Amino acid sequence: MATVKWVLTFDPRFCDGCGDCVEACIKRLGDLRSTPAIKLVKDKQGKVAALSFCLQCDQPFCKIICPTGSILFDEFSGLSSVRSETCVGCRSCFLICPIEGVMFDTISGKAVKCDLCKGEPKCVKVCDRGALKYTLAEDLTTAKEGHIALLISASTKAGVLTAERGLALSTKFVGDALLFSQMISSKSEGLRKFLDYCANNLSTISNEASLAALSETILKRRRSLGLNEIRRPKEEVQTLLKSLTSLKEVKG
Amino acid sequence: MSDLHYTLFTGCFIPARLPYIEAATLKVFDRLGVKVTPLTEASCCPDPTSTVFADKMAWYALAARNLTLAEEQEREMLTICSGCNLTLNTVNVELKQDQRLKDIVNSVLSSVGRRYKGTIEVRSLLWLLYKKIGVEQLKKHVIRPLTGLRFAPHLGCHIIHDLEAYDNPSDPNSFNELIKAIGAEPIRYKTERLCCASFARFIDESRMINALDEKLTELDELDVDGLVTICPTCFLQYDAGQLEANLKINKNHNIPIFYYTQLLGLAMGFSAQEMGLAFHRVKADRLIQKMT
Repeated sequence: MATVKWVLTFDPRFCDGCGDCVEACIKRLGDLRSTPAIKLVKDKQGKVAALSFCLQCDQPFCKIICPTGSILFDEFSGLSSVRSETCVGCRSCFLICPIEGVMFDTISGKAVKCDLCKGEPKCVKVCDRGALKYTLAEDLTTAKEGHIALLISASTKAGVLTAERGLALSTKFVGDALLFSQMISSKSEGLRKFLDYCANNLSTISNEASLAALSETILKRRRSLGLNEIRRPKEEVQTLLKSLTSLKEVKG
Repeated sequence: MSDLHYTLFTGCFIPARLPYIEAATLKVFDRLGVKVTPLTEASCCPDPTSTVFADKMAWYALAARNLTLAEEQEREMLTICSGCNLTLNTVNVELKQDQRLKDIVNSVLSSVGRRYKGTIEVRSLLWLLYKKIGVEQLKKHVIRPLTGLRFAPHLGCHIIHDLEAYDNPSDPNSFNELIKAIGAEPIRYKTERLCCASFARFIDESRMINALDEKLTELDELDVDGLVTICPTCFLQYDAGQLEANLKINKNHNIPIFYYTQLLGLAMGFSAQEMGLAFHRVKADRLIQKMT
């Protein structure tokens, strides 16, 4: 389990919307300008209500979906980062992230995400009003847990964040997280649907030994194309999966 | 080339949803002297995205079961689907390297009287055509080159891991060479590496449609004769998904999608009917006209 001690917090009450943090993020790699890994979320009045950035999930879906292994996850710090040398810019990570924690840099054609500037976040340095802070999680006691709870529950339901991580995050965001949580819940609802779809796929495989059941129409078409007969090993697959379940129960 | 005999793993999507691609591929294999013995008792590979999210151990166990079928035949396993290749190749490599994982998987496999040994290799269609047979050899079979036709290559995500053995995954060239081998021109384009986004349907349909639309819009502007792929998921997504996108966001994309072996077959002299073009959702009439 990751042992994160330092977190990035944002309190919109102190934010005047100057955008220096985003500018600092753009210049975080020195002269080379990059797509920012943080994004201001404004309310209807145009006031900054939240800041969107990677929440450093304990089980990063972006890491699982990445076809090139370009999302690195450090078990000790709990930080995930993009290895741009191997990223091919397919955007799977962007497509799966429920909180738009991964962005796509159109200049380099690669994924970018917040890696907390390896422990020295540039955005925090330029925030002279103190809206952005990089601080020890255990020092935070004033979290508005009601707002945060929404955010966390929406994310944990989708299985992105573990319960421990959710607790740590409840101290991470302060201020009006309502808008942010709404933004997240709509996305994580989709992620939950995706996980349901994954579970359904596995039960389809369990029942049919295949993702695409062989109907009589399909078999007829196969015959007309001169293709071989296919039998799906339904019973064997079911026995195998049952054996796996009992193995897990013994271990559990 | 007497060693071109493989155990063929067709997967789920190709045999059930795209059997015409299976038929076209087998015709091409036959002409190339590639002998294949299909597996009649294979399950889903299983799917390298959804199964991994649902239950990674089930993914290992089911894939290992499929690998034992090829081990019984004592031949290398040939996959014609990139997803199957990612699953079977990754699991095969991991099981060979990780004795502990292999022991756990074998204890599960023992329930069905099987044992994974780690005696075979898993090969991809791209590897077979580009690395094993080779471009020069392929060219010898081309009797009707697709000269003047321009195709947008879409390799897809799930084959990237396989490229490490014979190409540069960051800037691959093997697929372009295969397109050149049939006399056609592979074009380079900005959204070439953009994922087909089929998995994103359940997360955020609008993001999925946008990803489709972004690539198809660029291809419309480039006036290509089609998009060519070697992944059945990408094929379905761009073929049927294109019509869905057109309907949902009121667009008029009309880019025919091809599986590489279909184009290779056309260049070898097979007819459009033999290559199953009539079954495509986005009709390939323009290409057929240009070829006659």
